[in-house]
Amino acid sequence: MKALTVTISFLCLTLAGCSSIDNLIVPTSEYKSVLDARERSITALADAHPCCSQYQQIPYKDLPISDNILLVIDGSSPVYHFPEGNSFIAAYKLPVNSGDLKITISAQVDSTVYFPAVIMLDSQFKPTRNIAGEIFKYKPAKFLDPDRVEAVFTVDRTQVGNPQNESYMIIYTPLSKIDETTTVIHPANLQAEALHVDQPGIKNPQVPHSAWGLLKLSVEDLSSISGRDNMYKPVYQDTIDANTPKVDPAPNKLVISSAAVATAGTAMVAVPVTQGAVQPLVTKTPVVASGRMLAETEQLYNQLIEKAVSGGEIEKAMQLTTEAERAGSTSAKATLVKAIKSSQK
Amino acid sequence: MKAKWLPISAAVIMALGSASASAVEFHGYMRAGLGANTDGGSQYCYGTGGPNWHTVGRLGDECDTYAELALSQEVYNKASNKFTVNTLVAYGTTEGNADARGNSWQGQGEGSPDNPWTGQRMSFREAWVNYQMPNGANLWAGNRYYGRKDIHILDFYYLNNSGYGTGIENVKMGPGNFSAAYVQHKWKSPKNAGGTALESEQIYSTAHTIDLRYSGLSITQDQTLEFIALAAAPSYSDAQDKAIDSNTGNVGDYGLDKNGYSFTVEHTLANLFGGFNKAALQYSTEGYAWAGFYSNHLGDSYNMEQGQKGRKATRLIDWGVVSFGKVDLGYSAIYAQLDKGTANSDDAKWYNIVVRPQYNWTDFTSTVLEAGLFKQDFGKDWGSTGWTDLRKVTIAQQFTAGKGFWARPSLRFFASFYSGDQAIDNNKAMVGAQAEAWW
Repeated sequence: MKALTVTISFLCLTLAGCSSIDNLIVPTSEYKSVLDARERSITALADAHPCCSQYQQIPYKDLPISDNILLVIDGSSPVYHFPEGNSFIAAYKLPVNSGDLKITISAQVDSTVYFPAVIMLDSQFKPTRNIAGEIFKYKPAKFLDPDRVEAVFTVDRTQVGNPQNESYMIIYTPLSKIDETTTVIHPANLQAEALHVDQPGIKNPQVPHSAWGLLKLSVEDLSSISGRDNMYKPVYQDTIDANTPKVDPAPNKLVISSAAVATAGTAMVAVPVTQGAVQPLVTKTPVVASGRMLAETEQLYNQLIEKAVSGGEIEKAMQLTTEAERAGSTSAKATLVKAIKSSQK
Repeated sequence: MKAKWLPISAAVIMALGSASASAVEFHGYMRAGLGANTDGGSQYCYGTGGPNWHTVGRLGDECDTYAELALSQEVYNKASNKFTVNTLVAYGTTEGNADARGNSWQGQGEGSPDNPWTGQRMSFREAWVNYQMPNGANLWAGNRYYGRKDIHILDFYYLNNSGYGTGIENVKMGPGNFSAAYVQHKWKSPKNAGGTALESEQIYSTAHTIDLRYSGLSITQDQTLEFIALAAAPSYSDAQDKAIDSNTGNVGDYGLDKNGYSFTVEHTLANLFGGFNKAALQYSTEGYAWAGFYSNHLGDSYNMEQGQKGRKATRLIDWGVVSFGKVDLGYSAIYAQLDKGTANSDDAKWYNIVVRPQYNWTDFTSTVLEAGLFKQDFGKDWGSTGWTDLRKVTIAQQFTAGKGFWARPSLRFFASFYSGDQAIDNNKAMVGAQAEAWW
């Protein structure tokens, strides 16, 4: 097999110029025992015990960013019990510090096919999406791609640190799918389509679904693409672990730090004392001082109050006093009283 | 929070991403390669993709480069009303038995291939619009490939009514589908005795043709029948009529004043050893007779030479591709007979058998053998001294993307050996390499 790959690669280099044949061809022949074992896979599934009862308990493998991840689902894969029934699965933890991800899942069509479905989970293992049904579609062989059942989807990574970001991916096959078949376009009919000739009339084969299969995954970080397709790159600062997010559980509310609350409490206790001393002169609006003010500002307020009184503007002087007290002045009222008294002399 | 959210950018991305609702459909074909004559020089081939076809099989017998690029786009789709625009451009080296593949730069529209830097060709072979109606029927007009029936291992089109036309396809009628088309075919240019154009208003001679097909008539679960009738009527201008009546100029080239017909009945066995078999019986008259007897592409033109008058051709075809485990087998057998329509003439006859077994070693490698036998006796009145034959055996090692007879792209290294009465001395053994792909 290796010698063959080398030969093909050599021919590619010398004749056709293709770069890496390994990336282009899925080695279905190496996994014949998996792909040809539909009956055995169904028996194995019936006898298998689920690995876990909750999503949290599934062993997740790190999903690398790569355009060529080969995934074999067979008797050694974990089994999980879904509402639809048991399934051999593959479970992945998605890359966290990446741009938006474009994920392609291709199940290879051979004598059988593992018809996939996907459950995406957030960082708290809550399901966010079930990618199934119409999204996985049969794609006929074209160029160097073989017959396959494929879905392409993206994972949003624009909200860095959001605990609801999709963080885990489980690939499974719904139990009911195993009884179904996929109609594959016969290569003779594909040839007729390519050459615009009449269809030869051959029946398209029905490929049965299996509990085991061979899949190829491609995970692309869209922020790594250069060129026209990449219009937007998310910006990262510190690494934020999606599992320990630094996000307020009740967003969109004014948050007051405990230190600030303590200071305000002290001030509120202090205020009635001040108010009681100059009761007749102040308005009934409660005055809340939030702390000491600067000596210079206090001085400035006092000067303004004296000036207002000497100019005969008692109303303005009283407003300034209230304002100064609200800002934390302790000498404003005394200054006002003193100024009024001296103006009456 | 330290995250920078860019919701507007994200919205823009999503809008851009969803813009391409229906992608351009890209289909095509290509073959290119090289060959050497073991007696010196480059490859010689006994057939082409044209009228002088590969009677002993195409494998290791192709001396040309040919490619087709087809682009289709669904441009409108509302309430089950679909409009599709289809185009196909073809490129090729000059057709012939001698190798006309020149050098890396071989210009197009630059004259004949008598030097290796000129003589490639290009043709805009399809430009048509299809309107699919809510009931599934298709109305079309333009220039297109129409109803082409091809034996792949021979590159032989036993029916091919391509050209400029209009028609309606796949109308549900009873148990099958009905299609009708009008296709206009042109023939040679009428000339005066001096060789100048007969008139400025017409360049070619013209035939109107009608193509009626009833397909998909099931006999059993795996067997279907198709019935096809082609009818052609020459249509002459006044000047052309006068020239024919007075027998002036080259009327022999275009003056066949006879309607012609061609009938095909085809039986398809859709499930035979993992493959299929097709058997066809054809009967063609007048201007259809030569192509209905020997030549490739029956129906792509109506032969209006006066010499075609009275001819009647019968042809029997059986071909298919089957599979036995690791062995795939393509096969074809044709027998044809021509009643020349002239007094004291012998019927012309030919037959051929070509088999292409292929052993698939792995998903990527196979060894292919193609063996062909062609025999003809066109009659004493056409100078035949009896049956003459051409034989070929080609062996090829193939590397394909995927397994089996239909797997492409394919890289192949071949050796072809010709023998028989028609084999040319010093041109009996060729070796070469070729790439072939379709998509």
